[in-house]
Amino acid sequence: MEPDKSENEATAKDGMPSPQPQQAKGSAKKPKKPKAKPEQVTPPADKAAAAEGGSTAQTPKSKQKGDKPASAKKQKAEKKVEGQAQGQAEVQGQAKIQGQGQGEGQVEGEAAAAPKKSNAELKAERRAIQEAQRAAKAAQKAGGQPGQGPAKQEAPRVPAKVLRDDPNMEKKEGKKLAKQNVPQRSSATRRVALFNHLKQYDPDLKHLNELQVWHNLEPGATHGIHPAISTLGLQYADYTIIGSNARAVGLLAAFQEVIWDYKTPADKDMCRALETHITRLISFLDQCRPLSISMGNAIKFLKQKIINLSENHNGLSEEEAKQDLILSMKKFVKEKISKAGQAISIYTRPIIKRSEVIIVYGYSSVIYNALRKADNKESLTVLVVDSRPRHEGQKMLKALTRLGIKCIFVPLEQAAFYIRNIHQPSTCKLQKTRLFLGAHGVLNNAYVMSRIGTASLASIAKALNIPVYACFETYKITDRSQTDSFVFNELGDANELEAIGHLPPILTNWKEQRTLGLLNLMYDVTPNSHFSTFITEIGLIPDTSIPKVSPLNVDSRPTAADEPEVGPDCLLLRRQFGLQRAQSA
Amino acid sequence: MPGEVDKTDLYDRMENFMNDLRKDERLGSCEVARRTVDLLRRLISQTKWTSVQDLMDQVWEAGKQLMGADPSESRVGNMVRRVLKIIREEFVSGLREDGGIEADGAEAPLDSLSVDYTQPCPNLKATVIESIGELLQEIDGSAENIAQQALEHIHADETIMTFGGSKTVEAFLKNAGRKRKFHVICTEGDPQFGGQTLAKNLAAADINVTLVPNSHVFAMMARVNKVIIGTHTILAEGGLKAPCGIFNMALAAKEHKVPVFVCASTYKLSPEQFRSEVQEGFQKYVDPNVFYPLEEFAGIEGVEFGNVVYEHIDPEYIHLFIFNTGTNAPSYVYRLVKELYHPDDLDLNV
Repeated sequence: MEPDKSENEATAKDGMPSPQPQQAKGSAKKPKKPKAKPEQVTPPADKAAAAEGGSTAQTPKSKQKGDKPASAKKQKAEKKVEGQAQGQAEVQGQAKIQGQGQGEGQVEGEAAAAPKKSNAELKAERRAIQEAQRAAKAAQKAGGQPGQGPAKQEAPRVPAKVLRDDPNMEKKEGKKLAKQNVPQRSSATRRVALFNHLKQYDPDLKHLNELQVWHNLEPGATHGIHPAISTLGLQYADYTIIGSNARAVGLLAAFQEVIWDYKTPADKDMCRALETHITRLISFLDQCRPLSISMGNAIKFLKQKIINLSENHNGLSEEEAKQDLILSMKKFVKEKISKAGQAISIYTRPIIKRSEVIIVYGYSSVIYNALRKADNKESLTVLVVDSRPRHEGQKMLKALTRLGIKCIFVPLEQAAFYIRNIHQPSTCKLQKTRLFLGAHGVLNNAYVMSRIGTASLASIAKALNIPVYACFETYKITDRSQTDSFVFNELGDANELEAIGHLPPILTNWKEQRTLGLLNLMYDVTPNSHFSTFITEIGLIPDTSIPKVSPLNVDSRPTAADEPEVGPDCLLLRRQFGLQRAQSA
Repeated sequence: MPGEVDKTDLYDRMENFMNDLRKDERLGSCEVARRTVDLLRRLISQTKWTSVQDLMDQVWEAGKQLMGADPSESRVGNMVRRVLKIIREEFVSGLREDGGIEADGAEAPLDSLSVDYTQPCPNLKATVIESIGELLQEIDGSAENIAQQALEHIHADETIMTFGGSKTVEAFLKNAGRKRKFHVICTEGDPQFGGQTLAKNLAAADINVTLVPNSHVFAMMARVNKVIIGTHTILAEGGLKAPCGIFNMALAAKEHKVPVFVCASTYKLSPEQFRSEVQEGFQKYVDPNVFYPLEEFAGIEGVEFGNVVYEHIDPEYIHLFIFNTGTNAPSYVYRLVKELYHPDDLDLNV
């Protein structure tokens, strides 16, 4: 689509000719994509009007600008042109997706026949145009002139959660939340300078607890928070539900309930109204605790599914469409999380050999599963590494001892000593040791974001020549890339550091000391060079393959749900991802 | 023996000191060194001896007794060696003055082959006690001497990471903080959370401090300019015997190419060579309750709990030692050990 856009922009620059012929040319240039034709045939004037109409609700500012001088109008027109170009690009993509869902013949026929379009297509188109306009406006606001320079690609938006150092952001968020009728959680009073760009919540849950009063069981109500969500949110907030997988599973389970209870208001369209409804609930969850990468990907999946519902729900009734959504969420949990976890344990089995020492850090459901499925469990020794202040290793220790596995429980500081000095009692030989790590999320550059301390442990293992395996489901891969633990992270409650076990606390009134800050990060980022291999449900893969198997990359392919299930899931998935040859350990 | 000074007071003091060593109370390294030297000084002043060898045997005997209280407490042994060296030096210089041996320069070997330690030496006691007094002064002033070098190593607006609650490091940073603005990232450190105390004290001295748990070391290291730590002992090869957790930090520093500075007084220099982390006199095993309240694990069987205190850090991870006598690279430590201790005293267990 690149050439199309640049051409449009070029013409826009030299004096506003009617874009219509360009449009026609553009479409003529793309004979390979007949599915996209119906959109392109539409006269852009219509589209602009549609966009104007459609955007009134969302962007009231565009109306206010009506009495601007001519130059402003011209700019606006330029914007429109660019918007069309971008909108077109997006609409084409949209149409492609829909085409795949509906079968090709139908679209082909329509393309030849007339500019008449289905409501869903019109709607998708409108939305695409709105998006494009909004992006153009943002770009202009930032100082760049739209329509200038070589084909400008829409830059990925910087998420608001890493822009907290902007004082306006807090207000902006407040406004948005007020509009959504979601309570805003106050920020921590003492912030650490290095992390000013991140949200630092006030640990006080009082605010959120008030929500319990808000419980409104009336489905689709605008100001209640569905009880499933508010319960979940509070469980996130007080860390009852922790762990990347648990949070994603909890999220999808709660949204199944939400959708079950959901009823579209009479005057609204289900697809749009449901999305707004869900977005609002997600804002609420984000106030409870910043969303995890796994949750982000699960939400992306759910929203995609909702967007794919056309106006008449592909010929289904609302009830059926809801059931369809619930089923697809269940499928997601089953395939991407539980079956994927099982597949990982199949791959770890041959790696874990008799009487080895396995090092684990904190609690990870994937690692626990892998150890549960390991052969010769009773011959293994598991070095469970634990750290302050959350002590997740205790949970792992309890779970593993229940399986009858011999454990050594050490704090992170002592891990290096124990790794260097674990000897087999009989032979006094150093035992073969391996480190298995779970992940909170995997970044696009194959750096692994995980519980704080993971990077330390991985670097110890690397320094001592111990193989390090990262085990994760591919749905945890995100498109974000970073190399440090600062840009994007989550700040835990600093007060957690006050309690120091059985000793009397030292920092009881630290807030009174102006120059003292306590920092309790949740995650750190481990460089890809620290890992021997990545173990996922599609096999053992090298770090270079991470962007390839990322869920974003996969979305464009037929998903597992579209194919009949034959054979073990892992094989099926592997075939889909085209990775026949798994890298050996 | 008639004329023997009543030594019950001395024995009481020794017993007290040994009890303190045995208990898990955190004795500052300076205090351990000072009390050891003080006890030995008392011993020398209260004892009668027939020859220098006899005196040295008595000091050695008492030293062994003190070291037995906590074999991992190498600073007691270091101080016994220092006192023995003082006795040897004073004896030889006494002989020189008397013309008993040829004065052939300061480099003359002092070992038992060239010097006859069995000869009597009448004026020894006074000079030895005077020299020990100097040693005590050195010990007491060492932290300050180190702190005075702070401004040579910390520049303005720097971020420094430190581990646990070393008194030496605290004095060092506070000294720099009087003249310069910089940022300190304190890690909680040892199981007694010395890092929290350090953070509190530094903040009280108006230094910008961020306190983090030990697990944050790798993440925070990316923004750190220098790592400045204390240690328990410096081994003869230039490595450290330090509280568990410092290896994590040294490793992270190495990966991020951050220089590691070790502030230590010379009484922490041990002539011991590193063989293994479980060697005699290196490791200290404590009740795991120190690290985590075991009542939370009631009913869990088949679990071994981590209970070690020290770990070894290779000299390759350390860039500089800041001693009270000046700065040295780890590769020079062997030389300092040679200067401080007499070769015959290196192994006190013989």
